Amino acid sequence: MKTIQSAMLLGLVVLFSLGCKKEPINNLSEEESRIYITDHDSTINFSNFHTFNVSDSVAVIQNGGEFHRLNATDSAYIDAVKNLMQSMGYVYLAKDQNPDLGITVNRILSTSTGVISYGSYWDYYSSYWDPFYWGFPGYGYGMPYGYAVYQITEGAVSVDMVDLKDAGNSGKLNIIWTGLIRGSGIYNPDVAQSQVKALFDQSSYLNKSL
Amino acid sequence: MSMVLAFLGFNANAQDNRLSLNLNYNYSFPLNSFRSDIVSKSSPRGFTGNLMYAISPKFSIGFATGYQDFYQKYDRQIYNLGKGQQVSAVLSNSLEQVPFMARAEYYPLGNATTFRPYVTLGAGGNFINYEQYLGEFGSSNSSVGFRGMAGVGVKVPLGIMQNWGIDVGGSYDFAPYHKFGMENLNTANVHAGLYLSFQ
Repeated sequence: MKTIQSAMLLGLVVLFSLGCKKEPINNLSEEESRIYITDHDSTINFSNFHTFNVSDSVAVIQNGGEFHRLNATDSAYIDAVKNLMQSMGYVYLAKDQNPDLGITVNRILSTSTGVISYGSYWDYYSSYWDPFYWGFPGYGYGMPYGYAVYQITEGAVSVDMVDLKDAGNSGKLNIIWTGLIRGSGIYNPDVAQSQVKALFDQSSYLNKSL
Repeated sequence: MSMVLAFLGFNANAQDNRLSLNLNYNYSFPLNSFRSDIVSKSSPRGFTGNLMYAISPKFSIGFATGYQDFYQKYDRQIYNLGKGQQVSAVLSNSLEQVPFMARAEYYPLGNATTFRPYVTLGAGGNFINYEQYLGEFGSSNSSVGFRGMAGVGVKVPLGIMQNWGIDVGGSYDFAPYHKFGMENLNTANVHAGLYLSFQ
C-alpha cells in the first residue's frame, strides 16, 4: 500500500511541477521587452517641413522636477536623432537659422511621483523646454492631438518634434510628433541609434525619401 | 498522504470501494475564438483531479478541478492604438484556467472488467486569469465564468486488490468568455494519470 501512496504523492509533485505558470516576462530578451509608441498630428503634412534642429542637451524629468543633462547616452540619442533625420531627407540647421522643426530628447525617470500616464507626462512637464530655447520667448506649448493613456511607472526616453515654422502664426509651439521608448536597457549609448530608428521606422510619413 | 487516506477511510480489502481519487497530467488544445484571438499554441502545463463517489457499479458522481496555463509570444508588430498613434511591441498572452465542476461518470461495462471505459459530463465554474503584455508592460483581468465538459476515457485497474490503476482519456471543454472581443475559451484535452479507490 505504501507503494501506491508513494506513487500518488509522486504524481502530485509531478503534476504541480508540470502545472507551473510560464511567466511571460521571463521569456523576453531585452530587445523584446521594449515598446515604441509614436503619435502625431494627423492634420499635418510633414512634406512641408524641410529643416530641423536638435536640442543640445537632454531634459531629465524626474520626481516632479526637471533639469538638463548631457552624458554619453544623451549625446548618443541626440546624434541618432540628427543622423536619422538627415537620412530621411531633412536638412540640419543651427538654431539661429530658423529651422522648420525643433526636436527635443527627454529622459523620464519617474521613481517617486507614482504612475504617470503617457497622456499626462507631457502635461505635467510641458515647461521642461523653455520656449526661449527655440527663439519664441513667452510662447506656450501645444499638443494638437490626443494621447492614448499608457502607464509609465519607470524609465522612458521620449522624442518630441516642435513646429517652429508655424509658431509665429499660431502663437504657440505645437508638438506635432512624439515618440516614446520604454523597456529594459534603453539607457545605453550602444542602443541609442536602433531605438530612435525604431521610432522613425514606424512613422513612415516623416520620411521624405519614401 | 497517509493521513488523508486514513481520514477518508481507506480500506485496501474492500470490494465495494465507493470513493475514487483521480490525478491526471493534462495536455490542452485551444479551440475556436480562444485559438484565433489569444493563443494558438497547445498547452503542456496542466493537470486535472477529481473525487468521485460510486452510487452504483455503473455510475459515479463527484467534483472535478484542475489547472491549465496557456502562453504565447507573438513577434514584434506595429499596432494602431488610435488616430495617428501606433505602438511597436512583442505581444505576449498568458491565460490560466482553474475549473471547478460537478462531474458524472458512466461505466457501460460496470466495474468488474479489466478495462473500464467511461463517458463523463461536467458543469460548473471556471476561474480565469488573463494577462497581456506589450513588451514587459502588462495588464491582467481575472474573472469567473461557466464551464462545461464532455469526455471519454478508460480506466485500467492494477494491483492485487485492483483498487488503483491508470486512467487515460480526452474531453471537450466549453467555456464562454465574452470579454475583449472574444467569445470563448473552448479546449480539447487529453489526459493520463492514476486513480485510487477507497471506501
